[in-house]
Amino acid sequence: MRTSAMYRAQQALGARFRDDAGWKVADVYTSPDDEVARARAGVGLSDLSACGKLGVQGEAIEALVTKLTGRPAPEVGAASRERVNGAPLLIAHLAADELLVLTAPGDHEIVADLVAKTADTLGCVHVTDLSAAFAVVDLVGSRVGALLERLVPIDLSALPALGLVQAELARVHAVILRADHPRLPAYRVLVPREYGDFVWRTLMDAGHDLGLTPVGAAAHARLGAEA
Amino acid sequence: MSRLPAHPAQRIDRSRPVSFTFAGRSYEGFAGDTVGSALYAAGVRVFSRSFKYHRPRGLLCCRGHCPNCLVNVDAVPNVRACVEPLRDGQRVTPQHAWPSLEHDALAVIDRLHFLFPVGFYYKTFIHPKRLWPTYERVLRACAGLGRITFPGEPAGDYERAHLFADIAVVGGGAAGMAAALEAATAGLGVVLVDDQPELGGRWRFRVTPAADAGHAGDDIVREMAAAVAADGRIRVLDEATAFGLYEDGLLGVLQRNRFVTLRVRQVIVATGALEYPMVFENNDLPGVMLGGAAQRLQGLYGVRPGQGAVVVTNDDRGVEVALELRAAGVVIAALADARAGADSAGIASLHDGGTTIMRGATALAARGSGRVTSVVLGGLDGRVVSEMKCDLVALATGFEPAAGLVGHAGGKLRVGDGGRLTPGALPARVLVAGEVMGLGELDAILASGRLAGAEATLALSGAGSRLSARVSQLRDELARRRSHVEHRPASIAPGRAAKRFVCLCEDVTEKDCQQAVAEGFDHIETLKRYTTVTMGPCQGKMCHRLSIDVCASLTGRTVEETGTTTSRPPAQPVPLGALAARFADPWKLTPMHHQHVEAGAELMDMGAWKRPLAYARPSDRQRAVDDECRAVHEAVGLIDVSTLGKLEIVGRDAAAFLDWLHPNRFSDLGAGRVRYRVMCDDAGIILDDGVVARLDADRFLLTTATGTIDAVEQWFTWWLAGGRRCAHVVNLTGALAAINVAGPRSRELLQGLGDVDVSASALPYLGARTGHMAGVPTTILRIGFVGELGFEIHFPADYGEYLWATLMAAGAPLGVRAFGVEAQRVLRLEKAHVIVAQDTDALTTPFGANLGALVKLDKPDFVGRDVLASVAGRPLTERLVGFELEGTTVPAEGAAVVDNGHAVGRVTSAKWSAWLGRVIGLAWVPVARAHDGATFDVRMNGTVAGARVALRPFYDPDGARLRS
Repeated sequence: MRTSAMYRAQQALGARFRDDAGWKVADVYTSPDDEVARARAGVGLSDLSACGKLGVQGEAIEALVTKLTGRPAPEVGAASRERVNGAPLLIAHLAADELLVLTAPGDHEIVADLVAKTADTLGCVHVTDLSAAFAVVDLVGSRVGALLERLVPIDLSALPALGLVQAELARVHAVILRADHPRLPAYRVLVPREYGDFVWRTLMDAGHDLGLTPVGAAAHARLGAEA
Repeated sequence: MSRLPAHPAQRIDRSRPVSFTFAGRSYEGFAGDTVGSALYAAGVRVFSRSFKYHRPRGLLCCRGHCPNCLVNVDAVPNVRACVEPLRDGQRVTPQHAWPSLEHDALAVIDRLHFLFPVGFYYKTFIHPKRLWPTYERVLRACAGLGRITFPGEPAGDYERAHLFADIAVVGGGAAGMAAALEAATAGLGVVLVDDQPELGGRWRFRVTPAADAGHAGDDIVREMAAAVAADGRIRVLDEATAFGLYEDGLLGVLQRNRFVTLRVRQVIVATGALEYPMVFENNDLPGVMLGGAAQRLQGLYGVRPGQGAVVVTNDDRGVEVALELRAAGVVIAALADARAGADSAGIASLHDGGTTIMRGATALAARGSGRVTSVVLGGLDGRVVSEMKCDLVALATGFEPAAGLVGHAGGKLRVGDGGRLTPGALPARVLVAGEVMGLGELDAILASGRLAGAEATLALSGAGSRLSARVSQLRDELARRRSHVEHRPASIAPGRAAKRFVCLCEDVTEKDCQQAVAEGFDHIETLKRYTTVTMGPCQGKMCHRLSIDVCASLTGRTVEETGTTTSRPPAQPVPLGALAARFADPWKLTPMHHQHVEAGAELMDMGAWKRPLAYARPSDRQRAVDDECRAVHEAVGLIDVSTLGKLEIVGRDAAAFLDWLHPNRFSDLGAGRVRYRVMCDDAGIILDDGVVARLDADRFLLTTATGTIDAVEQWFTWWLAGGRRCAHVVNLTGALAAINVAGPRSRELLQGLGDVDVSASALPYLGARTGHMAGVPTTILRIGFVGELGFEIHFPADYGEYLWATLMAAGAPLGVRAFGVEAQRVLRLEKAHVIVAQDTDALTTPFGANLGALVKLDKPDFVGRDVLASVAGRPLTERLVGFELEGTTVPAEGAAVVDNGHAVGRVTSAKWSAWLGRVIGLAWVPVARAHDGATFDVRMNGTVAGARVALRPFYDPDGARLRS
């Protein structure tokens, strides 16, 4: 089984785990109802490291997105939600020649194969599996802005929906994506895997007085589905 | 208790008593008190001892500016009691006094002041020379203020925040609030920074009706504060000090225990005026207090500042202070007004109430032991007129703009009419409002605030007819309301006594300044540096203007000719703990980290990584290292090498790119093969080493040293930038975990665990294969750093815990053992393998490090080729060699290689090898000694030990075991 960089920290918090596409995923800490309520009032912290991650580099990456999705690539510094062969994707345009594609854990292999085959038709475009390269967390809740202003030295309030920046979070290089839930502000944060344990514990510490609570996969799904 | 009747301006809650201790004694105050106000109300007058002479000091400013009330609060040193909120159970202790604050033995220095002239450390304690160590020890013991928190004691807990806004208004007084409200009305985001717990500035305790419609200042600012609180576009940072203004609108702010970086587009400085004392004999005695301080004590905390007071002034502010003190029941014995023709209704009222009015007079000296009991008053020519009994001397003699932040941004103070200082041309993005501009009347202050808010809005919103008209209207209003401010005489009373203090922080007297000027330090900047005036905890708030006046007086220059000192951040002392606030020290963990901890590993820091040094407690380390080495030699060992840097180089030009960056060649490396790499810079100096594995035609996996990955990735990316090569670099350091399986039984362990055939024929030395190991996708490199048969397994980090546990379990019957960095260091040294940056330095080329064979000068070009080609034929002066040392003492890395007592080289690595039974190492030695069997000495701990050169590896010199 695969475990994320925050697995041990979650174990220490009493998480109950379930298997998801070969991963041990923290499902519940207290109860989904309790976690949802706490996240709404404060900040919910979820580990999404099990998602698939593909790095794509090359000058023709915009053509690759168009070929894959039939739509233009998002602007540099933005992301778009797409669906390819039924699999939901989040395509983040990090730089003029660099994309990061996030998939659901179970869709990773299918999407990776499709992206690689499409890239092969476009000359000097290369795809690397970065699924193990990043620890990924979602921060969702009414007080998430107050939490991030403690840790991030740039102004995230100006970030539009699905806008992204690369900045320091607690002095760790991070990709920070504005990914609001239907009724709550939210950010998705990717940091190098080796910093995952540090970042998780730092978020727990920094958000303590803001009502930060770990949120398992069950509650996270419910927050995302709220309308 | 000297509490006054309740008043709406007071911020204490008399229904909530608060208990605390000071110097071991119990006291009681009220919620809303500061430590200083509660102690003063309880009759405490001495709060601290001065820095140099250990003179008793009491409340002076009550605003958190001066050094007089520095105390230790709950183990935090140098806290200003006058602004520190009172909390139940607080433990307040005096500092810088022994054995007690009241009876400080070091106060004897005050009587021996002739031994401590300015710059005394260059003068009086230098003879006889042999006693200097003793002097130094004593002086060091006496120097400094407060005691830092040591391990084991409660530490300060500081947080960090990053805020952004359109406009920052610094100063929450009348001008600041007016500016914030004006800007917010235009829809801009404003952060209002104020160093007090409530907005309003000094107007909070001004109960005298102000010019504006006859309302008292405290009523007006209370209404404004409510408007600010109700405006969602204004964010208030209370109890927050903006200590620095830096480039691009960056403000450093300390808010209680929170270090805030505030980035804005416009800054409005509305920090008001600094009230400073005047110079006269014994002007530091407890009971000598600034007029504003007396007003604060009674206005905010309901504390009567004294029973009988003398007020010393040179303008109407002093009259106002006297009237307010009298209203609080203080007997005003005298008003000494420097103005010969001073007259007003207030003065008449004081006179009618029995106060002696002395025009053209000032304070010449304060008298008393430990506190003021009388003050000598006289004319401005120094003639003594009378000595008045009192327990309070209230000074309303000097104000200067609090323009430190303007100075940080590059602004200068301008000397105006009568020597008044005001900010000159303002730097970009900076505006000023209120008393910092030299304004005094509330109407004008409010108008200046509104104008600054409108100007900031105009600057950010672009020219618009409505905004421009608003700015013009407010400019007119300010011009209409701005009144003439009369000239103040310099705040230096005539006199020649020794203890006339200019700088209370550093105990610098007027006489010290006189001596400094006589010694040639007659420029205000050199006077500052020599005497340290303005360089203490108050950062010039009490003495900046006084030092200028004193310098001007001593040199016969005008204030304009004298100039001002430069204001630099921080404007207010900032605890180092705040700057190093939490979350400042990230760590990196490998996927197997927690398993190492569970196995009892002693961890070490390697950059940000935590790595197992050895699997034992520190006290058992050597035995554990010996055992770990033996396991690798005899059976099989596992080491977590996930910290190695790992890059994927991919693209049809990847091989050519690697050829370009390295002296050796990779374009001829076959798929499934591994080659050692050494990389040099343009000057041919070794930067890094590792291996390159060719996984297929255009995909390579490259490893670097743990500490060099960031620099190597940057180097690769730099050389790719703007080029036409089809190659990309991906940093996979964290993505791939890595385990080195080493030892004669390592093949036995791996064979059958997966679908990769690891037999010698299928996977020979320097081979690379991809496949699955225990179901985990892996890349296996047949290499060895530790001298035994070895396999380096790279795999997705998320499988780290699983694969480590699987290998340990599978290897148990074979005697597998985890080994740490220390054992690895011993094992690599037995093979004389080099560690770049430890065994090499910033001058090492591959030729000196015995790696010359890797330099392929037949390649047409590569980075560093020209230099390497030119040095290839030159004789070397020194070489890196292996050595064996007599005895069992291990020399430190860096130990000198000596020849006839002269250092001729250095040891770069040395370890005790239990397997070989001797100390071995690597050292740079003169080339004449770089041959097998040559001898040299190594100096360590004052002795020397003989060493013998060994050019071949100490263990398995032919590499038979490695290649098996």
